[in-house]
Amino acid sequence: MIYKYPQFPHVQVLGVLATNVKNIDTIKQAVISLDQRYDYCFINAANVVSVEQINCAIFKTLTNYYFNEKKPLRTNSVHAETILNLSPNANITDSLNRFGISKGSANLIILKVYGLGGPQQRQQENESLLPDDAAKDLQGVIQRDLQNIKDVVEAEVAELDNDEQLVGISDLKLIKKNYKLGDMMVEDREVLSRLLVSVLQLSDL
Amino acid sequence: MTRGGYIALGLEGSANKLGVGIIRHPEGSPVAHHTGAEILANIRDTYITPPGEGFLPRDTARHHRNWIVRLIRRSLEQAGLASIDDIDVICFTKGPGMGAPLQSVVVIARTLSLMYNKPLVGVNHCIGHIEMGREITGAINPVVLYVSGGNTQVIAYSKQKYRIFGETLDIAIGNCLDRFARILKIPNNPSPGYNIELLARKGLTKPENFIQLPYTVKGMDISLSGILEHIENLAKNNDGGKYAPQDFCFSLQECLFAMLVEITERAVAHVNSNQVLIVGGVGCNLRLQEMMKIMVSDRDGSIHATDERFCIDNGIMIAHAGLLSYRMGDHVKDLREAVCSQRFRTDSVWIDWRDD
Amino acid sequence: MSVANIEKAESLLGDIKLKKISQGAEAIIFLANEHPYSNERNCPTIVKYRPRKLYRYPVLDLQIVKQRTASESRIIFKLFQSSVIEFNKLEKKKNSEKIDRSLVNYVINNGGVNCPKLIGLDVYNGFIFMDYINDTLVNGESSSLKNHLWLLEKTFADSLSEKLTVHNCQSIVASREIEREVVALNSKIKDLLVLTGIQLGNMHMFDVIHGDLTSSNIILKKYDSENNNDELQPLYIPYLIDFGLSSQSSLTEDKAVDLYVLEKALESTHPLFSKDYSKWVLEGYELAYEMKGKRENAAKPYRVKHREIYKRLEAVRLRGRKRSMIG
Repeated sequence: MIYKYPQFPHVQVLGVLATNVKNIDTIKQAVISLDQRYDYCFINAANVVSVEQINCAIFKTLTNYYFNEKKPLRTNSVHAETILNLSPNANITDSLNRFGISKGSANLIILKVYGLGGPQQRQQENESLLPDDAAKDLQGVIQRDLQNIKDVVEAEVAELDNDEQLVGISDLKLIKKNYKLGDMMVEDREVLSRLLVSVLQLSDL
Repeated sequence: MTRGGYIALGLEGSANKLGVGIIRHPEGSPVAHHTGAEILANIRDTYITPPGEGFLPRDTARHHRNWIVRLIRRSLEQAGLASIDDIDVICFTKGPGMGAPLQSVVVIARTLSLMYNKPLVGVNHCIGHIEMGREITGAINPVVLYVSGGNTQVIAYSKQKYRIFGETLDIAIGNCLDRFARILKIPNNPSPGYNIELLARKGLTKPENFIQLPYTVKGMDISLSGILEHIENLAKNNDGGKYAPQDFCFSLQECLFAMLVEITERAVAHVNSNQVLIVGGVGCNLRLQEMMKIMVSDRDGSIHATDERFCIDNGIMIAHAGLLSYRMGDHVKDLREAVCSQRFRTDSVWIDWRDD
Repeated sequence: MSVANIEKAESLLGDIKLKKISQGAEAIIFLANEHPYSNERNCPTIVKYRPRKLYRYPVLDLQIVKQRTASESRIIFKLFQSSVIEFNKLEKKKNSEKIDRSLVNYVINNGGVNCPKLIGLDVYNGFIFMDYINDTLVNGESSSLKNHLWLLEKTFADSLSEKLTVHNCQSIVASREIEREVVALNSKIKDLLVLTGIQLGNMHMFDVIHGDLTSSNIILKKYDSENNNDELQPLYIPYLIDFGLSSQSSLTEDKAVDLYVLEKALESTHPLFSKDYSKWVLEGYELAYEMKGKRENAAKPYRVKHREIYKRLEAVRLRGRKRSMIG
């Protein structure tokens, strides 16, 4: 599924759900060692209750990236930033551990953000910077990346396009704990999604 | 009625400015607006204290008592009148203001009234500012920002009353500026506010020296005591000399004036007007006028302001407002009514001379 | 506000199509047809825009826009959060009773407040994205309480004048008809205003002050329930909107002034009936405190709280908005 954001028309995000991941440790190592084949955002799916929640984190990344003059990124990549924006607190290491690839994660949500350069590049007018520098070829690039994901991740990979796919994957207890919901916790996924989205939008203000 | 018109003497002394004014309304001139008033005399003397000191009621009253006769004589001379006999009505500031100074002026008014057998009219100080502002600038029905040492109000006229839309919840802006001036020992001559303005005009010593002050707009009202406390503390602890006086003045003005413009904007949006009139001593400040102009232009409106002859407390505004009232039949019927009062809300006065 | 501001908003929002709904002193409200970041959820969204003010020193201006955007967002979230917590408390108590989990029922017996939910915010540009709360009345107008009341008032007036032309004005039949009309009108309006009052009570018990209560800031949404057989008169649930002037406060004074502002607003917008309207709103307000007291088995403290606020409201009425002015 390609996520689009009307406010940022040149940005697109590939969103994929990988269930029953067998090689978690390999992936984690590869990400740490900046292996090019693993240049994606890996998110522990147990913490996610809806597609809206993922998009909310990306939206926050984009808003800060373009409009926060003082600190467009708190981490050093858009992918890490998105994981941080999925967390209710600002502690980078803690957030990457809880919301990124954790030991226990059997299911991952994998994202790739297209259309953003690094911090230096955001100053330039032409924002559509892709590795291949060919915007028309974006569809091709995405297909290639999708295939690549299927190659490097040992799991059932499907595009993430609706909340139904997350039923049975979201761990409500874990969500309650990680988001410190306490008395606020609800079982209704729709309401929960709205709650989490609000918490995320308001955190670190 | 003498010489084809009405002539009024106005006496103002609610704070440290003692003002005497003589005004003439031509015969048959309209009362609602555009009266075409002639200013025959506008004399003022201000009681100025040394830097770092404010003015106390008792001393201010003494100043007024010492100067009033002189000023009245001078104004008669300036107006080309032989004596009080040529005046039709004596107007005095009934309030609001400081007790003792107000009192000293009322006594003079009463005495003159008895001596020369002239009717007396008590005038609300704020209404004086408003009516004079309307007359001088020609603005018919503006939203009025009234800002002075003792008052901070946003006023709009509706159905025979000047209604208060927004105001300060604690101290007046002029008071805030004056007290701040004392901390930095900014001179009081000609007025602390003016000297703050001059310093502010120099700008910041460097951009990082902009001081973030609490911005306290609460709905249609503002609160200033928090800002004063904050900046007083900063000024007292400024031992390292990090901030220069101009940094303080600039930052304070930008914050305070932005707040005033904001509550004025709220009133303007609410009553759907697009004219703004600024009256009161602080209204002389050019930066305030500039900021208000930007706001009002954005709404395709216009701003009206007067110069220091009318902005700052004066006797002529009392004469003008008093005469309007007198022409509608209001005046003191029993001398016991000729008193002053420290509290006197703008919206408690019945404006019978307007017909809209 | 100038067209320039609208253009600025549009330019910052990329491809989002905006329709201006209203404009205040501080902010412009737009309606957008899409969710700002979750395209599968296409729903009408409100975009509230606080433009930069050219008269303010830029550093100060940005600070204010950021702070107000954040503050308003926090408040609408607080209301949502508090409503959920109240609901959860209740849920713990009820055993096997079937509970309607739809959000609309957070109100009334559940101690919550209906208001728009936060979808997103951009403090740097002054945008808040939130739910669009609206319905349409039979005359095509938006379903604010103000429009609804005006419609009912007009229908009442029309029907009354009709009846009076049919019967002799002085006849007993006529006066009975008038009475019947009044009673019919009252029953439609009373419940609605009591519900509104309950929500205001709940809101104040969360220590949130609305700051700008008027009949335009209360929106009615149609509620479909099996109990409602009358198709011509849908059940309405009131929602509170526009928290641009809101704040958080536990002070009795602030709560009393909040209610007073509503009273004055009702007086000027619905002069003929405002006395009854205010009375019913205050009835609901008191009911909210009673119900909370019952839920927490602490009837007395809540009654005391309510009385404090009510007494203060009486004092505020006497002195007007402000404490009296000193020279």
